[in-house]
Amino acid sequence: MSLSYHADLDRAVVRLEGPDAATFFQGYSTQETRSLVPGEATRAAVTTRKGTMLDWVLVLRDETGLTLVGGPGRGAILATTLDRYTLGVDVTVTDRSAGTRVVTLIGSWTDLLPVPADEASRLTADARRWSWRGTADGEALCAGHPALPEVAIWLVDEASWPAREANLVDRGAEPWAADRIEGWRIGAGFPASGHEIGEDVNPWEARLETSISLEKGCYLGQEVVARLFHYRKIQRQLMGLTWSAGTHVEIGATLLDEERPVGVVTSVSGERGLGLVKVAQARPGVQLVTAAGEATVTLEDRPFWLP
Amino acid sequence: MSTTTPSSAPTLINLTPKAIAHVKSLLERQGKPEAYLRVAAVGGGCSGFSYKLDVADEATAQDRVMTFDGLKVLLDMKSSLLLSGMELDYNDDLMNAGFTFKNPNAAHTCGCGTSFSV
Repeated sequence: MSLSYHADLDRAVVRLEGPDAATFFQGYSTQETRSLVPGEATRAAVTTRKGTMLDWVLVLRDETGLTLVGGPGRGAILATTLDRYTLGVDVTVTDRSAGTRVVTLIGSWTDLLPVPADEASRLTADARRWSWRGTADGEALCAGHPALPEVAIWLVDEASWPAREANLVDRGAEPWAADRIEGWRIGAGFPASGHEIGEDVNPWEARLETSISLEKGCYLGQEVVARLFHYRKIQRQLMGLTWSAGTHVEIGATLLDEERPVGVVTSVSGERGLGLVKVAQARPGVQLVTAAGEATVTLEDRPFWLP
Repeated sequence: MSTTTPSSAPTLINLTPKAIAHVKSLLERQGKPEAYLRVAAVGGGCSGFSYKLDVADEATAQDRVMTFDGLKVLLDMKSSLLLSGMELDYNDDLMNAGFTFKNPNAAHTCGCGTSFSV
């Protein structure tokens, strides 16, 4: 099995350090994180008071705190926002984005683990919670999502990255440029900051069901998130989109159903994309047209974690 | 609702007579009539910040000490930024018994009444 990789320097890496870190983050995210034990990981949406998303993050628990891995360019806003709420708690919030490469590994990444292969299988064991491992020099290696066992997220100190990358290349790993990893992301139905994750989208719309706990208690935006679910007020949902070869579709294009706006294109790669579509139309096989009338778009049930 | 002003330091928050009486009663029951009531804002809750009431045996260098009819109240400097002007009341209705917080700095308060945003 081959190994491909893409290294980002602008992905958010935020460190919450201190004895109250896990309890503190429990109050600002949709997932149950307080009960994580060192070595466990999960995914959580960091929400606003209105129940929309500041970001969707990978959460790594260790002995002294949490590391959050979020979307491109989101480190400063995540760190600033969380730091604002550290009143009365023993937590230090640090934006480590600039000094950390977030490397997406696709393929035979388990070879990198300093643990036996049978133990590596635990990394994909559960839909909500899984384990991660530290590697040399304080680096971290974690499955990107339990539903995508071929994908891992590797955090590497920027100063160490040239040597790490040389090693990857020596072993035959193929570097993926930004457009290629974006195409893979869209094909997998993985929502991303600035596209399907943002302060105008709630986590239900982005179909982050496995990143939401309805039993965990209070957190910022919890009342809205719970109400949306229990009162069935979710208006839109993430869908995969396909269109004919040679057709031009842009991010932000409005999708129409019999001339009524029912959705918006949020990501585009070649002849496929992702979009947020009103629940009434959000069914596989439904055809919509773009507002300019240049494309017919077919909906797919793309997010990878859904049955 | 009338409020009682502190007897010494300038007031940053106010406590109603009902709140004062109830806190004094709690301290008596705990056998700590000379203890302080600590009023604070902490991170957490549905709206980002939560009110916190606690019993403290002593004040710290960061605390502002106020006295309300003999009840000593502590407010730390960071909390005072979010709670200045707040009135702490106590409601003894059968249905809604408990402390209530009327905070002019709160832009939004969650349903439980103990969490707020600014």
